[in-house]
Amino acid sequence: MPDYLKRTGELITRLQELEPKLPENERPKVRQALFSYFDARKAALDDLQKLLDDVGAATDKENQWRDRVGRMRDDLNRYIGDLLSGLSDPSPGLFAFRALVLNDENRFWEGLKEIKVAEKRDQITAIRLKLEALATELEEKWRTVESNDSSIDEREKAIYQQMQENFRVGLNAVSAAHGTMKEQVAAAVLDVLDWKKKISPGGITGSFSVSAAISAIKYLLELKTGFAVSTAQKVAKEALRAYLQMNEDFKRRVAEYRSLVANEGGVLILYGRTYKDTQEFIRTNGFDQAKELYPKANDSLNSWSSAQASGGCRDDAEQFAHDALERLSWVLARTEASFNDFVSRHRGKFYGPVDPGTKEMLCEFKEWEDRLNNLKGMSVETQLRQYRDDAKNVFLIDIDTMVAKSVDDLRSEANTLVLPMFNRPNKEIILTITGSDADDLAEAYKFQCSNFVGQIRAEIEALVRSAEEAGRELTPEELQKALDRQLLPGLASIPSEYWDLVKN
Amino acid sequence: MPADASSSPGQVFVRADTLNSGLVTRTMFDNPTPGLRVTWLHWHSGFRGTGLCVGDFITAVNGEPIRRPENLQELQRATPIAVGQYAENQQWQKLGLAEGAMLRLTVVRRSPPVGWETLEFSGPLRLLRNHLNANNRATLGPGGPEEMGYDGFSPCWSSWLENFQRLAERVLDRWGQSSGTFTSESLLRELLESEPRLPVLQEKYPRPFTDAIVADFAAARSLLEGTKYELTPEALAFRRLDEERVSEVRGFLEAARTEFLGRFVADILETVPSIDPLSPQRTELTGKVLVLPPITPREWVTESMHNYFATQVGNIWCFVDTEADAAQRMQLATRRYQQFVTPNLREDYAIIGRIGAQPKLVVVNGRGVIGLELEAIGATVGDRFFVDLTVVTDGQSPFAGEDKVTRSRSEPPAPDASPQAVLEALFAALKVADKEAWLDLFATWRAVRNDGGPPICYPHYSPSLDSTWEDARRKLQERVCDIPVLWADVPRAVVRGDEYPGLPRIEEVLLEVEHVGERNGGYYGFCNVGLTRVWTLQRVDGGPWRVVTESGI
Repeated sequence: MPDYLKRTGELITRLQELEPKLPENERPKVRQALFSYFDARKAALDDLQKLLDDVGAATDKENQWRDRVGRMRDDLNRYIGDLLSGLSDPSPGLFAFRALVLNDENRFWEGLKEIKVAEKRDQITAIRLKLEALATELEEKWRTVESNDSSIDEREKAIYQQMQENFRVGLNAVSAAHGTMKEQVAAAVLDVLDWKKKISPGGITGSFSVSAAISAIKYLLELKTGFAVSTAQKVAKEALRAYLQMNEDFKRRVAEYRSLVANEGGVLILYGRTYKDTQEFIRTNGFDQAKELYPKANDSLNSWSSAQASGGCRDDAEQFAHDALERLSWVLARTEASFNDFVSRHRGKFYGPVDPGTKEMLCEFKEWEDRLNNLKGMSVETQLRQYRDDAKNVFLIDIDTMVAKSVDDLRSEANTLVLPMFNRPNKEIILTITGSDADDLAEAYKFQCSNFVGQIRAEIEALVRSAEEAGRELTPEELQKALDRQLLPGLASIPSEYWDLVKN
Repeated sequence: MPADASSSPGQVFVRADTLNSGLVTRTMFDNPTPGLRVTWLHWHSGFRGTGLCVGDFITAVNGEPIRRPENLQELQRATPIAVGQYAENQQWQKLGLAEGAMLRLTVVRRSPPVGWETLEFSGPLRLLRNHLNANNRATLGPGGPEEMGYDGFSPCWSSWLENFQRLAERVLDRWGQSSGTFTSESLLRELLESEPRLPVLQEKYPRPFTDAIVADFAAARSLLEGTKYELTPEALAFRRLDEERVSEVRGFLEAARTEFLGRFVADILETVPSIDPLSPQRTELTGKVLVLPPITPREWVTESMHNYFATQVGNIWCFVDTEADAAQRMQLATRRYQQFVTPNLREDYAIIGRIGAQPKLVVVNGRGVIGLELEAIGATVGDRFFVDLTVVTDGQSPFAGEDKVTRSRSEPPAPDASPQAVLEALFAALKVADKEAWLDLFATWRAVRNDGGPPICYPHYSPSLDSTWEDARRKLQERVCDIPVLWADVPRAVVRGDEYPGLPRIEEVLLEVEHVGERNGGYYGFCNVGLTRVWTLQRVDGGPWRVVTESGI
């Protein structure tokens, strides 16, 4: 602590000049009173500085300041004001000296009482306390936001993983279903067309007639066709189920995902509201407001020190003002440290522009872009298209040629192939299938085959159409639409004042 | 220091140059009539038993009026040698007076109900003495207790005397000390701690010292126990007015609330579904109406940035921002109720609120909590009144029955009413809760005496009395039964009017009141911190007297 000796020195000099003029009995009394006052004065000034030293949480230093100055003025009256006490006939020199000291010192202390430096200290401290409390509250709020967001993220991540798994399993299932379909349809077609194997000799009881033969072959073909078509239907449905399953799974996951994204929108609202409140609070209670108090204190201290009448009081006041401002600057620095701490704890989150890390933490744009790319990279739709296209390979078997050949075979070999079908009781009767009958047979057969092929084709085409439809939602474009977080209504539909904070 | 042989069995040493009145005074040279206020009479004072009292104001000594010193030098010279000051002996010495010389003091003393009376008291000047008993130990007066003796008490007699004198001086010098700065109850307790010493003093030391102490104790006790008053039931009828108004407003509560709920029946949620406030399910609740349980002050949540009325319904937290417009209107309605109906209101807010679209994050007991934010649309406050917050007139929402509640009117004082009558009218308006009449009795100007300079005069001044009104009304309901005006000073000019052109003449008068409270089934005057005993009234150019003390009671 400084000595504040300028005023002391000034008064001692005055006293030394005065002492020869004072009666003997007054000299020790004055000296003692003056030195007691010096001690009290120094103690009071030190105490006042200590009040400013306090960087604690108290905000009542202005009251303490005024009390302390009040007590000091009592001391002034006790030591100097009562200087004449006990003197039966005080000397004029003593009167004058006492009046001089009282006058200047009263001015010194009166000014100091009203200077309101401690009030500035209290106000700066109050700002600091608010900032510290706010910093802690915001940490808790951030923890709450983060924890809720993480919980949603975890569930979203699980959905992403399920999507990946579904795609993988779905593609396998589609692939398997398509393989089965190809094999079974091909077998069924061959089975239908290879009709000769199915003819059993003597299977038809009765005499041969062309119409009976046609009916018999038609019957056989219908039997085969029915079986083949139902096989084709079965395997096509199997393949379609795999498509649909994958598609349904995807749609369900997307719905779940969007519901979570909507929850995430709630988190963003929480965040955005807190962010906006914080900006407003800092605007009115931030370090800038604390800083504005310092020059005010400086002004009042300067006015006070320059208003002192005596050089000693002025010098001491300047020293006091210098020290007080230094202490106030510590208080301000402590507030600045708290503010800096606040800023470092919350910059990019609740203070200043929202940083990319915070945006990513809140919205996971990058993470979901990667996930989206991964899903796109699985080329689900491409693979599905390949499978669909491959389904058409079923028709790479040249059914028409095969049908034509079967028809030709029937026409040319009708006698050897068809006649034995009849269980002829009188084997000696030789019959011949005429060319005209063979043509009729061939035409009937051809019609039947074309009917069969048409049914198979229709089944396959229906499958392809459904598969295309099912796969349409799995194109890269559709995946983008379903999962791009910048576009999702759950996020982007929050009030724009909050969305603008976090969107990329 | 010569020994006084007559003081057997001990010895007495007379101290030269200590001729004094045995009084302690406070200089009041700046008073319109300069003088000295008697703040204490030492036990050995020659004025003991003359009728001079603590609080008397000395205006002349031996017929010589006390004059205001003309300059600082004269002030410095005159102060210490004035009667009752530390160097008064110098004055007596200069006048050539000796022990036994009679001093005639002219004093003024308050003369209730108005003004002062002038009295004269004469007493001898005395020298201070040191008394030793047979054991050569210093005693308090002849035959008094040993200064350092205990007689079974602690602390020793001299320390106790110092404490007792300080306490008794504070009590008896009530004019200068008592206005709102001490509590008679606690001081009485402190005083009674000395009571066990009195029989010991009377039995063992029946001398002048003891007589003085016993008299001072009795005087202080009498003041602290307070004057007994007889209050009739009619005098306390004002307390029933509050009860009647409470009951009147309470009568509107149920009907207003039922009608209000009926208007929102389609939107009211009977039960709150257990939802995550972050989920889109929240939007299904948006716009719905929730009837919250009463929220006590303990449940209010304070954050650095905002405060909330907070409560849990099921497992859902609900928050109402205290600074939201509707919540502000609710609190203003509460304030008006406290002002016009009764100040005694439990501030529990049973809020009916509309659920907002956005979730709210608030730190409750150090833990981040997510809940619904509600906009208050109605509330029952303290189970006393209902306020429909959807009704807004001039920025306010009236509580049910507000326009119908009986407003008691108090009679305004006549324009030429005395200061006492004005102050009595002020208290009467307070008792019947007539705030307008009460406010009308406060001065709308302010004039301040500026010693040594021209007076400071504010022609337009608005006293801030809102919380004062409620506080005063509460005290009237709880502790203060009546406030009689005891005494009024003589008016004096605070602004003469000729100090500079355009100034009015402003007069000022001080009045002392007594607060009467109930104790042990009776009514007694008492002092307490926060109760204003001395009031200042002023008037402009002979107009009506108005109160300038910014206090309620």
